[in-house]
Amino acid sequence: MGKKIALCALLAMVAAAAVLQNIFVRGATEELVRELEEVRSALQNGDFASARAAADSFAESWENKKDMFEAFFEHKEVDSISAAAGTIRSLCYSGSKEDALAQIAGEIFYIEHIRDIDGFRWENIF
Amino acid sequence: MKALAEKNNLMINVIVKTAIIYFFAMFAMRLMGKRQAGELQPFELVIAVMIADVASTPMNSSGVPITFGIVPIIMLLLLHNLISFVTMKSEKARAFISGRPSIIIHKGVINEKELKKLNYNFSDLFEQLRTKNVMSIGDVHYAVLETNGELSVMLKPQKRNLTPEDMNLNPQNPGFCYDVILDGKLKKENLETLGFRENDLRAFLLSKNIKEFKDVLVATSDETGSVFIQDYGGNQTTGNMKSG
Repeated sequence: MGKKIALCALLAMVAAAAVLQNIFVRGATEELVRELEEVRSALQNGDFASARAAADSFAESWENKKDMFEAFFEHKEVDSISAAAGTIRSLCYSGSKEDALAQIAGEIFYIEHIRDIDGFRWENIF
Repeated sequence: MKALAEKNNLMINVIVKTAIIYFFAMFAMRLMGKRQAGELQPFELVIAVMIADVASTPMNSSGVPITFGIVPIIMLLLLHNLISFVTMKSEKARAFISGRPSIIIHKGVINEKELKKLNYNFSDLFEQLRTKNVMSIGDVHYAVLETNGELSVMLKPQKRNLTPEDMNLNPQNPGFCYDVILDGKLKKENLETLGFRENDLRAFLLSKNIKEFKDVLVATSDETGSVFIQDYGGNQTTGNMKSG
């Protein structure tokens, strides 16, 4: 009986963890992409002050979420986002609009890619 | 010491991950049941090998989260229990998943077709017979290759060991033998299972000049009261609790 309870508990834990992970990753990636879009929008409007503030907000937001991402994904995937976040911030502060926009596009790709890795689809299985 | 306290100390990370995964894998194997390694069914062997492989990945890769080891182990454990349940309930499923035992020697005659079907050559057969202390294939009446790869052998009547029944003897059944003292500690529940009390054992020990349970390294007994004792000095004694 104890063994059955342990197995049921493990199954419930795995199912719950899978659901919670999916909810977290989707929510977190949406928020991060939204913040990056704010940076991009500010840069495209030539508003570097807003772009810097948005970049700081994005970097802080990423720092808060990074530990959880490291629990779910390989660290090299997470590190690439961290590196790009730092670069975007630097480029916003230095006023390099075109480079910052290119970096933001790349960062959005990384974040959406990491969300797609988590998705349950045949491409990820095979 | 400061280096040890660093959050990203790689060695400490590996040590902690290894400990967590080791205990988790041990817990998983414990939940899988008590078969020894040599008696695993094919699906159990696969799962044991896979657990070892998935457990090692996060252990030796610092950039791989521990969940990459723990979640696959849980899934393998659940799959194992599912397959065990299915094979227990359905004979057809058991035959499909584990296969069926194969009789490769039937009434002393070697079934060559069965050997070929199983990819089991004569060297394998002789080797397995020797591990069963059977030196001549001519002594074998039946040989069954079990689904876990073990060979079960039944010798010809004139080649097998004599049994009391052959000699019209009716020896006493001693029943199962339990350890009643282990490393100086009395195992009361085992003693009571045999139908004896603590005072019976104490009286027996005193009759052998052993004053306390803690002076005994190991003591075993069976239902007839027959006792074997070894103390910490290596001295052994036997007797019977009923007769003293």
